[in-house]
Amino acid sequence: MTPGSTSETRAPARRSRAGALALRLTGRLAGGVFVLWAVATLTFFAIRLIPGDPAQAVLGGPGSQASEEALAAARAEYGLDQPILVQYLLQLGRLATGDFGSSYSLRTEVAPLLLSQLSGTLLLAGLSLAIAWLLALLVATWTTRGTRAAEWVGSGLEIVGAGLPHFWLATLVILVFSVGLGWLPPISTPGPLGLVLPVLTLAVPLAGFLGQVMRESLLDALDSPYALSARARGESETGVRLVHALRHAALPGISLSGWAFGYLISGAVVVETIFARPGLGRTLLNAVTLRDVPVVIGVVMIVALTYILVTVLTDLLGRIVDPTARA
Amino acid sequence: MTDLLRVEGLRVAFGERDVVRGVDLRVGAGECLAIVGESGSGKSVTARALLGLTGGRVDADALALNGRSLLGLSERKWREIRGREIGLISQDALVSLDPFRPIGREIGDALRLHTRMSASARRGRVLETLAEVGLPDPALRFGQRSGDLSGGQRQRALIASAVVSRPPLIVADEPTTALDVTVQAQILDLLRSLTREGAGLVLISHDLAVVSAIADRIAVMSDGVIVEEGPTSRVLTSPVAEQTRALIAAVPFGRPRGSRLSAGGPAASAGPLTAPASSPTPALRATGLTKTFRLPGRDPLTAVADVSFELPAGTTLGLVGESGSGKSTTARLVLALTTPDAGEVQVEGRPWSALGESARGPHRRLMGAIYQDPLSSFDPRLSVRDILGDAIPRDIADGRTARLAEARRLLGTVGLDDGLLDRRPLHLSGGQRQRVSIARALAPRPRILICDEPVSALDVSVQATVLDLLDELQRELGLSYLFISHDLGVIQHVSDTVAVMEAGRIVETGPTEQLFREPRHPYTRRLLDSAPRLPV
Repeated sequence: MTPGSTSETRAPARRSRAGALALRLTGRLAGGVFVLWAVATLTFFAIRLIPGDPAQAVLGGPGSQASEEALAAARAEYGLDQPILVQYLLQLGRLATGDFGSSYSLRTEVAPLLLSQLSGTLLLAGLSLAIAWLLALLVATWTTRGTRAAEWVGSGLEIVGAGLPHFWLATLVILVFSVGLGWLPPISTPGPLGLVLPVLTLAVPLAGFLGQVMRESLLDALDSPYALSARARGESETGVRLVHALRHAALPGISLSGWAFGYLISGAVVVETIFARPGLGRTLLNAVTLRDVPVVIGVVMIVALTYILVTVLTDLLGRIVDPTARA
Repeated sequence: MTDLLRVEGLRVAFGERDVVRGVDLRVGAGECLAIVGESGSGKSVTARALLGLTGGRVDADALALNGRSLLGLSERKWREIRGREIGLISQDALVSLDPFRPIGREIGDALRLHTRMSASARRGRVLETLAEVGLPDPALRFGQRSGDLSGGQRQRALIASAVVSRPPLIVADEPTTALDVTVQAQILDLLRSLTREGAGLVLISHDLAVVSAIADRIAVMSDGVIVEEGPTSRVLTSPVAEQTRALIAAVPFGRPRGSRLSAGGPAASAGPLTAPASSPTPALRATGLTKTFRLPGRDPLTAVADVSFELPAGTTLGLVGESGSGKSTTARLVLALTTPDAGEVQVEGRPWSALGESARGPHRRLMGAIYQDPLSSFDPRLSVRDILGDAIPRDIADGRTARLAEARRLLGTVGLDDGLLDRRPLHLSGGQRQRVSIARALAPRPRILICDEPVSALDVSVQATVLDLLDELQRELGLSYLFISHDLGVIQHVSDTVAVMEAGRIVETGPTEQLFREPRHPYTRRLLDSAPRLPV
C-alpha cells in the first residue's frame, strides 16, 4: 500500500449505496426462499428415512394395533399411497400456499397449533439473547479494565460458559435454585418467575460464545489509535468504551447473533422439555417421537423462516453500527 | 519569559525497562520544538507522557504547564488537561479517528467534554475549526466519516480535533508519516500557522528534513535521552552529537547517486556509478502500457495510461508519483501479475507480458520484487531459514546442507548475521525484515529487481542503510532496478533515470540530474518544491 489513499471516486459510490442495499436485500430474500425450499425437501426425505410406516403414526403410533383396513384408509386420507415424488410435490404445493396440513397425532390444523407455540419460544429465545448480550458485555467490559488477572478470569468464565451443555446446566440450576434454595419454580410456570431458570440456562453458554468474540475486538479497539485520540481529547475510560470501543466490539457479536438464534432454538428443544414449558421445541420433540410428519415439517419451516429473518435483521443492524460497511 | 511547558528529568519505565531516562524540555508560547530520533529512542513515549498517557511508570523532577505542575495529578484532573490544555495529534493519521463516527462528532468531542456549549454552538465551532485547518466545504465534511476522506483530509480533521478547544500546547507525533509529499508540505504549513497564533508545538519525527522547515529548536533523542538540543539552524549546520550527524547524513535528498547515507561499511565502493552497460538491450522495456479497472457500481478507473519506459541493464529507473498515480499497478504489470489492456512489457529484449504464464513461468526468476511491507509478505510461522529455503531454487542448492549454506550466504549478502536464521519475521526489526525480503528476492539470482516503496515504512536512518545495501548489491551483482517511491529525495538518490507519474501517465522522464535541475512539467516542479530537504 502506498501512503495517503485518495477518495476521488467516493461520490458515485455513495449515491449507489441505497441501491446496493436494496439489491442485497433482494438477494437475501431470494436466498431465503431457496433455503426454505431446501429445508422442506431435506426434512421431507429425512423423515421418510426413519423406519416404520407413517400410516401407523397416524393411527396412534407404533404401539397401536391398527387393522389393515384402518391403515389403508389412513394412507388414502393422507395421500401416503401415492408415489413418493407425487407426495413430495403435493407437500411442496401445500407449503407454498401456507397449508401445513393437519397433525397426525393431535388431529388439528398444524398452522394454528404452531402459531400458538411460537410466541413462547420466541420470547424465550429473544430474552435469552438479550440476557446473553448483557452478560457478555458486562464480563468483557469488566475484565478488560487493565489487569492481566481480570483478563484471565474473564476469558476463563467465557470458555467455561461456552462449554456448558444445556441439559447439564438446566439440571444444575434446578438443583441449586429450586431444590436447594427454593427461590424459583423447577417447572416453567406462567409469569416472569417461571422464565428465569430457562432463560439462564440458554443465556449463559451463549454469553460465553459472544463474550469470546467481543473481548478480542474490544481489546483491539481499546488499543487502537482512535481510542488514543479519544483519551487525548480528555475522554474517560468509560467514555472510550461507550462512545468508541463497544461499538467496534459489538460488530462480531452482531454477526454471531444470527447463528446464535439458531443455537437458541435448538437449545429450546432441551430447555422446554426439561422445564416442561410449552413451546416449539417441545412440540418438535413430541412430533419427532410420534413421527408426526406435518408438525415436524411445520416446526422446521417456521424455525428456518425465523432464522432467515433474524439473519437479515442482524445484517441490517450490523450496517447501522458500522456505516462504513460496503454492500 | 515563563515557559509554556517545562519538563525536567522526565523518566518513563515499563516494568524493568527504562524507556525515557531523564529528559529536559521547554517550549514557549508560539514556539515549535521538534524532538527527532529513531524508532525506539523514546520520543513517542515522551510525547504521551506530556498528556499522562504512557501507561508506564512516569516520574519527573518537574512537569509544568503554564507554571502549574502536572506531577501527581489524578486521572480526573488529567482528563481536564487533555484536549483542553494540551492537544495531541497522534501517530497514524489515517486510523486515528473512529471510522464509525462522523468526523464532526469526533472533533466536537473535546468541546462536549470540556465545555458546557450547546450542541449547536459546538457544531458552529467545529465548522469554524474545519475551515481553519483548510478542509473545504466544512458543512459537508462534518457528516463524513474518516473513510470518506483522503489521507491529507484525515490529517486535517485530526488536527482539528486536537485544536478545536484552542489548547495552548499541541503535541504532534509524526503528523506527516504516510502522507504524500505535497500533502505533507501543506500539513506542515498548517502546523506552522498554529504556532503563529500563539500555540506551543512539540513536533515528534524521525525525519530531520521534515521538521527543519518549521521547528524553532530541535532536540535529538537517542536511547531515552536528549543528546543534543539547540536552535534549528545551529543543530543542522554544526551538529555536535554523533547521532545528530547520522540523522543529517541519512537524509537522501541532494545526496548524489552512489554516496553512502549510513555510517560504517566499505566506503571504498562509494563514488559516482558508471553504468556497466553490460548489454545494449534494455533489461526492461514497457511500451504503451494501459490498464483500466472496472468495479461494479464505480466509474471505470484507468490506473495506468499509455506508459512507456526503458530500463537500461545495470541501472536504476526511479518511478515517482503520489499515491493513486498508478505506480504500483505499473509494477504489477511489469511483474506480469496483472495483464495489460494494451501495450507490452519486454524483458531483455524478449516478449514478457505477451507470453502465456506457462511460457513465462521458467523465466520468472529473472525478476525479483521487494515491497513496502515485507512482514505481510512473509508467512508469520516460518523462520528466516524457511523463508529463504523456500525461495532457493533446486538447481542452485539441493539437499539440506547445501540449502542451509546458501541461506547463510544470502543473509551475508544483505549484511545480516547467521544468528537470525531461526527467528520469525515478527521478531525482526523493520530494517532486518526488509533485508530478509531482499535476500529472498535475490535467492533465484534475478537480474532485475522491482522495488515497490521498499523504504517507505522505515525510519530515515534505517532507510539509509537499506538504500546503501541496494546500491552495493547493484554494483556487485550488476542488477537493474525499477525503483518505485513517492519520496523524491529517495528517488533522486537512487536513480539514474527518473520517470514522474501523475494520474496514470508518465508526465516527465529524464536523467536524474537534469530532471532535478530543470524540471519542465509543473507537476514535477510541485513535487520538487514539496520534498522535505535540509536547508543548505
